[in-house]
Parts: sequence; C-alpha cells; structure tokens
Amino acid sequence: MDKRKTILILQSAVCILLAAALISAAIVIFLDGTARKAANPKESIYTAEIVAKKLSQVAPLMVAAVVILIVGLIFGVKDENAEKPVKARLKPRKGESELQGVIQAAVVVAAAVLILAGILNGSARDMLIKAITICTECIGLG
Amino acid sequence: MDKLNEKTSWWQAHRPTTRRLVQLYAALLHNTYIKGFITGEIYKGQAKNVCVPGLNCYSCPGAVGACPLGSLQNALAVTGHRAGWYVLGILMLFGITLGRTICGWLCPLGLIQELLHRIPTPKIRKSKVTRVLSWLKYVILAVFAIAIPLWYGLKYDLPMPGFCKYICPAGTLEGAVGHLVHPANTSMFCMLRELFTNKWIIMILLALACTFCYRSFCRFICPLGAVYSLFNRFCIVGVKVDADRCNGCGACVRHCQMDVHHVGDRECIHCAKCMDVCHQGAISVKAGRITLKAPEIGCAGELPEAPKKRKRTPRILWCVALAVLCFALLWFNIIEPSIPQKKQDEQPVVTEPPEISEEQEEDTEAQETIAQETIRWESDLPVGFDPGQQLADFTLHCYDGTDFHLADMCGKIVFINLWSTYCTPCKKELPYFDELYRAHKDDIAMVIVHYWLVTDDPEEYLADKGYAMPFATDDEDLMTKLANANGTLPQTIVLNRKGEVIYNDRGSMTPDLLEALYAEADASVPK
Repeated sequence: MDKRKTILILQSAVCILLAAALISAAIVIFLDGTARKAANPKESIYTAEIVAKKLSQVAPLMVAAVVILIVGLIFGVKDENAEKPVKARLKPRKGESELQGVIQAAVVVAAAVLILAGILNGSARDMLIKAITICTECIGLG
Repeated sequence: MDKLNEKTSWWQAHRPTTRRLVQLYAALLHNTYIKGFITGEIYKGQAKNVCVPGLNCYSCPGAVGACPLGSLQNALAVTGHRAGWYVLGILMLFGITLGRTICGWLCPLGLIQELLHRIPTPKIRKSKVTRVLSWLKYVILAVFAIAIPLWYGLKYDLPMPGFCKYICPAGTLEGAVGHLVHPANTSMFCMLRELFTNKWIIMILLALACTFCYRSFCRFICPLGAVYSLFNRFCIVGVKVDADRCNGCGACVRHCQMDVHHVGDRECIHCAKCMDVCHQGAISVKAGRITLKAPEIGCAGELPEAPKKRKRTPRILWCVALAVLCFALLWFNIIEPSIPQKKQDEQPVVTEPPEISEEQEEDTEAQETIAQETIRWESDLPVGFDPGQQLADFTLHCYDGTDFHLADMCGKIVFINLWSTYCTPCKKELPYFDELYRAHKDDIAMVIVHYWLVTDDPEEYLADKGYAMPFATDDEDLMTKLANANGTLPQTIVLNRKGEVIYNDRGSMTPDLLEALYAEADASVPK
C-alpha cells in the first residue's frame, strides 16, 4: 500500500481511537463518581487525581497521534482529493442592490442607536457583570 | 544543493499564509490577559464592556472582551427586566461591517478548527448533505441561543444560556478546561457532574469532526456564524466579485471548502482562497470602495498599485499591528487601571492562631489588635476559610432588618451561601436551603449572601418566594477576603458549633448533600 495512504489511515485510526478513549474516560469517571457520590454525598464525581490517572492511560495514544502528525507534516502527507474541485453549481448572483450603501448606513446608524440605548438602560452593565464573573453553568462546570 | 532546494520548497509549501497570521494575531488579541493563565483567574476590567467579534469564551482566563454569543443569550434572558439593546447593537455593527469575514479571519475557534483540519487524514468534502446540514446552525440559533434563554428568562426568571450550557465547545475548552488545568483551581473539580461529561463528549466529537470535515462546527453548528451570515450580503468588508470580469465559470464555488453557492453568500467566510483560482481576476477583498487585496491576475494586465508600494504597505500594517499587540499586552497585564484592585490584590486572610507572648501580654495595643483579628469562638483554630480553620468574624445587615453577626452564632451550625440573581444554579438551590433551614431552625444559623456585584434588585426577586432564612448583600465584598469568594457561584460554607469550617466549596448543592453536611457538622461537635 502507498506509504502516504498508510499514514493517512493510521492517523485517522489514532484520532478516532483517541477521541473514543477520551470520551470513555469521561464516562467511566462519571459513572464511578456517581456511584461514590450516591454512597457519600460529599464525594466529588471528578477529582484532579482521578482525571490525571485517566489521562495518563490515554497519554500513549496522544503521543502516537502527535508522532504520526509530525511524520505526516514533515513528509507533506495530505488527502490529495481534498483540494480537488467538487461538482458544484454556481447559482447566479443577485445583482448588487443600488440600495446596498443605504442599507449599510441605516444598519450602522441603527446599531449605534441600539448601543447608546443599551448603555442608558443598563444592559451594557449586565454584560460586563456577566463577563467578569465565571458562569460555571455556561462553561460546563455545573 | 538539491537538498537545500527541497527544504526551501517545503517551507514555501508550509509557511503560514497572511490569513493564518491574521487569525493567530486575532486569537492573541482576543486573549491578551496572560496574567490570567498564570494566576488561574479571569480578567475583570472595563474592557469586558465590549464584545469581541469572534467566538471566544469570556470565562477564558486570557479573555479581555465579552463573548458576543454568551452576551446575546444573557441579554435575552433578562428581557423581562430590560431589553438587551447593547448586545444587539454590537452584533449588528459587527455584522454590517465585517459579516462572516470575522469567521474566516478573526475567530479563534475558526483557527482551531482549521488547525485540526490540517491533521493528515482522509477528508470529507462538501456535498449536498453538508449543504443541507449548513442550515442546522439556524435551528440551533433559534432554539438554543434565542428560544431557551427567552423562555427561561420570561417564564422562570432564570438566566439560561442554552447554547453555552449545552453545546459551546469554546466554553468547555477555554473556560472549563482553561480553569481546571490550573493548580489554583483544583477546587473546581468538585463542581463537575453530568453537564461537564456531556459537554466534554460534545467537544471531543466536534474536534474529531473538524479533523475530517473542514470547519464542521462553523458550518453546521455555530449560531454566531448564523447571525453574521444574515449580514453577509451587505457587509462592508469582504470578498467582492467584479460582475464585469466574472464569466460565471464557477471555479470559485467548486474550489471553496465552505457550502457556498456563490462568492459572498451566507456561507462565505471571505477567506479569499477563491482569488487564487479565479482566472478572470474578478475577485478582490474590499472595504467599501477601498481594495484591500487585489487579484494578481488582472484582465488587462493592470496592477492596482506600483509593486514597491504594495510590498511596503503590508509591512507597515504588520508593524502597527505588532505595536498594538504589545500595547495590549502591556495594558491588560500591567497598566490596566480599571481592574478592581481591592478584589484583585487582597489575599484571603489565612493566619496561624495568634501566639500571645509575654511581651504581647504586656502590650495592651497588641492585644486589642489580636482581639479584632480573631473571632469570639472559644477556639484555638487558625483563622481562615479552609476546612479545619475558623472563619473570621463579620456582620451583615439582612433585608429583614436584622444583623447577622457571626460571633453571635456560637453554638449553632452555620450555613453561609453565596448567590446572585444572575446565577441560575444559585437560584435553583435556594429552595433546598430553605427546606433545611425550616427543618432545623433552632439549630441552624443561616445567611444567604448576594455577591457584591448586583444587576437586579435581590429583594424584589425574593419578594414572592417566601423563603424563611435571612438574606443579605455583601456590599463591602467581605466574602472575597473572609471566605475566598471570587465570583464563581454558588459557594457554600458550613461551620460546626465551634465555628470550625467543615465545608467551603463552589458548585450546586443538593438536598442530600446539605443534610449530609448538617449531619457531619452535628457529629463533629454535638450539642
């Protein structure tokens, strides 16, 4: 088999395996942690130690992925088909509206008015407060 | 000689394009607060009054601006109180000036996706299926970024950023993982539950998808791209086609990796790759009438500028850009005057138990100082906020007119909960505290403290809730110093009857956990 093709397939397999390993690690930690938490509500589902242990198990795959990536990049391996043009239909462009300039100016003015209104009604402050505090739920911490 | 030539050609094949350099530059500029990566805290200055154009989580330790998508959802969530004109205005301004040029040139997540796509694997090319899938982002925008925040905000008065909470990989990567990897934030691990597991899985799947399929998140999921796409046809800066030169060959569309039907349509990210394949020289990058990047092949062979001038202009621009980046780094990390210094600089008070020497006993002034610093629990525990220490004394004025003076609560199990009206998990857990308080009213001293940052009147919010426990607002930001609060909410502190901290953690509480904490406090120092 062509060496380049082999690297491509190998890299794909490692990527998929790595993703699967990372996902399964999270699921295993979650399931174990939930069982521990059911027995003792003060227990944490995730702990730094458990996460570090699981990541160390996945580490060989990560190293393999990086090594294959470097080899691939050095030898310029890539899917040649990816850059070939696809069959696609060029839809006729709608002619540029004569009103385009007017629309742009109107939207800019409307945006400026809204920003000013937002500063006056306090929504700018809402945004600032949300931005300077960590929303744990938003970032997935819980 | 041949080898040298080979090396040169390798570099020529792999050297970063101008667009890649701009993407890197933009990603750096979005995350200039390097100090955040060192300290594990987020930037809290006034620059967060402004949204950045790209999708960049504002909980990222390095972020110096607000995420437009997160801000939009939060603005919609508080629609019942005030309309979020500010965010809408900013989005319109970004949309009409840059449109999806932001996706192609400025978005940090766009850069990450493109780097993932560089991993050498077989690639999935665009097709009718991907074209259909490109509509999915509008559904996600409508459901997760608009309907869910509006529904929860208007019906339950709960801020619920649906997209951030359930999908956003930027939040998981930059916000959650960005904080968890820092040794100072190991206490955050106790907050991780099902939500994190789900978001982690989504992030990994999206990363895998981006490896095989160009910009999968951007093309199929990103609601911010969906918003900007609405303005794409009219945006001032972007790729423009000279209709007089275009012969309709369609090379631009066939070579484009996005699901475009023509240059500049809703899917076009103005990356300008199509300029290289247009043999008519019909495509250029323009800002209004000014040409930013002209086609190298002109129909009549004309060049827009003299070659020397063309070479010099980008260099000057790059010098200016680097100067701006250096200034931003200096400003946000060293000079920045708007960071609330009091909150940033004050270190939590962790002291050893005061040892009173013979000299000190004689010194009345020293004794008075120690008496002020320590609390009135009859305990020799060190003052601090970690389990095993005793919390320093404080007084809060409650909304019901009473004062909560910690030292007066000696002999009771104390629950202190930090919350805010803009924190959904905080609001959700209040009934559990109420239940616990009612069940053990004679044995528990409880105060629910609103964090010093106030958006809506907490008293107004609580008016019809009927909670029995006392509430107060931490106007003087006592909790930052005394209980190690940093705005990551909710936070709960539990003291036993001796005033010893037995629990001080951030994250949502459950009735079971509250009861377990009560039982533990009760067992550690029985009545």
